[in-house]
Amino acid sequence: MRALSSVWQDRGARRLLTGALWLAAGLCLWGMAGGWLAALGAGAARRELLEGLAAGLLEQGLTPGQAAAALTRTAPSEAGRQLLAQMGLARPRWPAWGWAALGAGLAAGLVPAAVMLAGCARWLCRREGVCRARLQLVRRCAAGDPAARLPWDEGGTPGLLWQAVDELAAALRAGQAREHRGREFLKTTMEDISHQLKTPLAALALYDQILLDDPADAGAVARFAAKSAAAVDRMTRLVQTLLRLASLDAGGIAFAPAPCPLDRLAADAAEPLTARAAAEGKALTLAGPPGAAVLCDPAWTGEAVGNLIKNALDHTNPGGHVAVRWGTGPLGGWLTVTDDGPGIPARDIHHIFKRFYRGSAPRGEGLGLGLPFARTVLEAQGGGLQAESEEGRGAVFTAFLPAAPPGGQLSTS
Amino acid sequence: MKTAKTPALRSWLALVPLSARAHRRQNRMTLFCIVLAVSLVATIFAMADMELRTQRRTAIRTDGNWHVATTDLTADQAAVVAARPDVAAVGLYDVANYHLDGGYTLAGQEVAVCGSDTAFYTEIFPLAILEGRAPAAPDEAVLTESARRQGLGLGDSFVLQSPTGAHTLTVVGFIETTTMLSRNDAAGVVLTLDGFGAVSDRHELNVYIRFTPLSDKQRAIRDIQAAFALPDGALKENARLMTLDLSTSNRWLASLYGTALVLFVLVLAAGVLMIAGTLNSSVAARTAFFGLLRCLGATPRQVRRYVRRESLQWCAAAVPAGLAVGTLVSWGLCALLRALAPGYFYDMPMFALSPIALVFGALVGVVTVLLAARTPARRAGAVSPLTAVRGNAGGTPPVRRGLRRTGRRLAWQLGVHHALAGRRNLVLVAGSFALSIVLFLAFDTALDFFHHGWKPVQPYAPDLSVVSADNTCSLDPALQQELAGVEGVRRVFGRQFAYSLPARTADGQDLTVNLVTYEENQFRWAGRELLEGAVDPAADFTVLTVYDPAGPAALAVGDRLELLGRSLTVGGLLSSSPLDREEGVVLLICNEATFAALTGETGYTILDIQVEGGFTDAALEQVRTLAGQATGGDYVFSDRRASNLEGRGAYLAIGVFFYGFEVVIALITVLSILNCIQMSVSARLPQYGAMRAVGLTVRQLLQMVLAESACYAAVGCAAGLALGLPLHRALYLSMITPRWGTDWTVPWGAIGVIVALVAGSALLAARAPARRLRGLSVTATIASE
Amino acid sequence: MPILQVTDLSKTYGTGDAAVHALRGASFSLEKGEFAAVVGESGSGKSTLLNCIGGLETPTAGQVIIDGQPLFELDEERRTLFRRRRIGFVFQSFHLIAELNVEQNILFPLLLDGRRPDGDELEELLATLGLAERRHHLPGQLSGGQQQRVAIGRALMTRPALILADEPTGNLDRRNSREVMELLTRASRLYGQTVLMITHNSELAAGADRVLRVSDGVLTDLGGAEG
Repeated sequence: MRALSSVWQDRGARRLLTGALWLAAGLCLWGMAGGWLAALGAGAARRELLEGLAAGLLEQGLTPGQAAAALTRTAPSEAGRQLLAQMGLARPRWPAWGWAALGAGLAAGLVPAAVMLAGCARWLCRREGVCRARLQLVRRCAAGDPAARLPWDEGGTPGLLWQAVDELAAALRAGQAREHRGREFLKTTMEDISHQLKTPLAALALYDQILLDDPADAGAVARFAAKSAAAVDRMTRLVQTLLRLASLDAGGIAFAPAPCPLDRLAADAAEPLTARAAAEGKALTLAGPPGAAVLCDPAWTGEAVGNLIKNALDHTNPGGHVAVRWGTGPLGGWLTVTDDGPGIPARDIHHIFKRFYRGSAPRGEGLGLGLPFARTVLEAQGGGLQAESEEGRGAVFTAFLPAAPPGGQLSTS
Repeated sequence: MKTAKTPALRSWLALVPLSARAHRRQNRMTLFCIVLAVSLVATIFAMADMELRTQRRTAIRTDGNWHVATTDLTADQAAVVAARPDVAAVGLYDVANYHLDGGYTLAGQEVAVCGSDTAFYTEIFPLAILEGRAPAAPDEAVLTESARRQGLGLGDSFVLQSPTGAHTLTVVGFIETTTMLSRNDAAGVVLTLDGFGAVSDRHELNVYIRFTPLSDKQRAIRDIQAAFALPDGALKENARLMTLDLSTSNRWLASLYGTALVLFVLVLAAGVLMIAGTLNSSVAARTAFFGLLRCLGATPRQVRRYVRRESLQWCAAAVPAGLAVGTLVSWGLCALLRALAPGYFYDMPMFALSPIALVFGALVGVVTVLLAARTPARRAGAVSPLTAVRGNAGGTPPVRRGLRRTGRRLAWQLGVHHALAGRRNLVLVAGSFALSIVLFLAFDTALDFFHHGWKPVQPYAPDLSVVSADNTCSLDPALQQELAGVEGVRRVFGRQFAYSLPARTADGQDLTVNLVTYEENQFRWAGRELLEGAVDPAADFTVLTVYDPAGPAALAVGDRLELLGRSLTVGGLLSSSPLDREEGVVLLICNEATFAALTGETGYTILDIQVEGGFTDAALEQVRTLAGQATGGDYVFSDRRASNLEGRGAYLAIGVFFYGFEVVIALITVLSILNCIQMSVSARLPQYGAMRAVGLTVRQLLQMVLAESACYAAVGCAAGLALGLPLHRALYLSMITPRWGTDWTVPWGAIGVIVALVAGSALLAARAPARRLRGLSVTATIASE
Repeated sequence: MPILQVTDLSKTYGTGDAAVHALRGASFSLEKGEFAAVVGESGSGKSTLLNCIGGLETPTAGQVIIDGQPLFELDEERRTLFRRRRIGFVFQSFHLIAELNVEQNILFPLLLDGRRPDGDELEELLATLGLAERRHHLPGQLSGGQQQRVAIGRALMTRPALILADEPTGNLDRRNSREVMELLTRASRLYGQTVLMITHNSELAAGADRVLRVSDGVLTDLGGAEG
């Protein structure tokens, strides 16, 4: 029944079904006409028989009343059957007009058969034409013709097919776009690296020059050596982070997801920064239910969370408070890092996840890559990162991660 | 991997029953209206069907179950006819002494004698054999019950004297007395065909033929006539049964079904109005929902389909209920009619199902709902999806014109404005009021017609009558006192008749008159029928005449005419009289003194007796004896008590019918306005809340609602009276005035009743939402926007 | 090929002196998979913009082309069909059908289209939305956040090309707002759907790829993430 209702949605199938219904109706009428003719014939034959009988009965001397009673009797009797057997009429005989009736029936049947065949052939040819047109359309779409639009208003299962083809085409295009974007990314990353490295390399060359110029000045050597070390360190971090971002983008990182309790995750991420927090006079608190766990790669995710905490510490004034909270919700596990610093101005907030963006009032020594990195790591593991902030009212960063399956078992998918 | 589970919802239209379940209260009114319409139609058609069946049974019982009869066929030919495929049965019958004057006597009393074959009893005239069996041998006889008076019982022998001689017969059974025999106070003897042949000197075989139900009877009649070379008119039709079997073009049947059809159309109209109003309001109250459906992607066509499916679903619940109610009510009415007038409705089928009623009832239900659902469906489909998006369904609805002036009676003005602004609602409600009023007034005419024409209920209807055998003034005046003295007799009054007297009017026209006397009772009753002039029993040589537009002379009050040498003055004109009208003869009524002076007769032609309830059979015998003694047996006695009782019962029954129908009309009216006001209030609830917030008191709100309701009622009454009064007048002038001459007067009574009803229902409707308005929490209504 | 192209869109209510210009010549385009946010104060014309893009309102001037199909060249019936198959809506007041449970609400637009729902897809969607245990609950038994998630599920079930969200977090508290935003973001990232969201709350626009501002009927593009 449901298959029938979805077939009904398809226009071409509808046409076929209605045609079939008409044909069926025609066949029924045809059959009824045949039956009617047969009944007429039988009636005529019976009347002939009765006429003969009536004549015979009256001739034999019965009164009309008796003859009428005899003619209307329908119940058979043993004596009657015996008489018929003696006359040789016991078995029904094939009537003379029987062959003619067969022939007429065959001829009559040929007409609807011909109509049906013609109709089927016509419908199939039409279908063929439609399929060809669709084939053309798909080919054009594959060739990348932007004007080729797959039809959206088909009904029934062909409509679903079109939709699936459309999705396939869209997925292919999206894949192509992704590849393109990937290449663009790589290009951009290379440009970024070269751009970002220009300054530190120039500084390094300068320090080197100074050191070569004056190797004897121990104080200067120490100072500039330290400066070089810092610059090298910065460059290393930069290249490493960028490379990691690039490989994350390209999907070349193999995460090792495991059930991680959120408290452990938060604690591990916060640990390297507690000292700094204490030193700067900022409070760093962790709170959340003990049983909450998410499915993630602890190393990468820990780093991402660390970035968030570091960012928060960067943007808090001394005496401020950075709170790390976590829990589970319907979408999985979540972890928030809240600070009560000056917050992010409205003109900046749309850009905070852009690479190398450090805001209109940059703070700290960050590269501007912390937030984009954290976001990419979280999204690559099936989660996400959101930011909310109002100027003067601090900021809240919320990280979402898929929940760990119950029982702490690793799922294979 | 998980197994795919198909979710429970199969089609989006499955929302309809879910939604209905959640909003049961709101749907109750609609369901009730549909049930009402359906049960009304079902009852009407069931009653029509039962009436037809009753008529059929009565016809068969009194006239026999045959279609044509002829005397031109022999028994053998009859056997041939019986063998025809379109003939169901043939019965043979012969009768002698039908007029009870041929010399066939049983113990001195004239009896009717008949002979027949068994097919006659079993097929044609299924008379119940009350005792014993049918005759099989030539000397066996069956007697009618009335013959028991002769003192005969089963197995007794008796001698039948006939022109062929004396015959000894044995009683083998008793059958019911036919109506004709009882009216003529005689008995009947039933023999076999052979036995009859021996007894009777005249033979005329009657062949009764009954056709099969579905055959073409007219064609069969023509065939038989041609086949047997019968002369024209040889085959006499049983008009009543042929009509009932739909084989003649008799207008009576057409009129019965025609009446039912007209009622059907009227009820359809009323039902459509009622249900359309409800559906309209229901849709108007749910614009947000339909907007949401549109927003979620339902095309306008789908929304329309939703509304129609909803309506059909209500049908599915309400139509069977309506049919059941209609059937039960019709059963109840049938039982009531049988109880009230057993004589008339003896053959009414009890607890029978009428397929026609069920079909038409279902048809009304479905067609009404589908028709009524068209406009609401269209409106629902036209709802813009923005109504859902914007939140407040419509916000402040646009008004075509604002209030012209705001006066002190603001609440009233607003209410009236609300009523007049909603054109569609106004038309629907006022329309249904108007229709009710029109129907009510039309029925009033029918009731009037009924009142005028129904004799058994008249005060002058006699229970017993002693009539002079030769219609002369042969009854002794002393008999009147004697009869009056019999225990149980309430009143005896007589009339003197003088037939075909020549008279001449003042302007020389010659007339033939019948002169009849009235006494004080009859004059008093005649006073009720007075059109012009005065009724004065004491006025001598003054006559009353009866309104007869087809009569030979139009006599007016004050005319003089000359009769039997004396001059008479016409003193009054009556609209009708209980006396039979004779073609070409003028009827004049005078008092007994005048009659005596003109004709010299003092004896009565007829003495009418009215009895109390406890009149015994012994008293009846006493009356007969007195009459017999006074006239020497030369009188005719007529016992009309049974038929009078039945007549009164039938009058009651039909009165019940008419008033019942009017009650239903009234009910529809009341429901319609209740429903409309209810819905209108719900639709405006947010506005009312806002008004309350601004400072309107609850009393003022109620005043507003009352004003709205009163406005609907007023418009409806005006329209109804404007349409109904002319209709009433037209019907009256076409049905009643031509026959009885009464002039049309404004039916103040009926108008008063229906206007009071409308006003009452408007008041009731205005009070219904009072509780809701009182409990209106201002913030709740505004916040729900 | 942009999935949404808005050209010179204008909408004026009323005439003459009482004319209200809700939108003036707004133009922009969205690529597939973009998450765009439209910010602006109340009364700035954002809702009008969304309604016009969704085909609920007819603009006074301008054109809307979704996936290559000019929207207002279609008549009302076909436009509704298009909206049903290609556009998903999420509203501020959820607008769930009160008589249907969670599952039925999500499937409703699919059923309107006469399509048979896929049990597997539904399971997956319910799991993503976090509503698997509440599938037979009625909207009256759900909290605001859960109801909005049902609404999002309803919008996602038909796999539309474009999702329009009108202040989806307007009636929700902080935590639920975050979850709803996360879902919408995931929809655009994982399912590749284009999301256009209206909000008067600039904070929430942080996660969007593109931000557009509407002020007094005029639309300005504030730039995207890669810029």
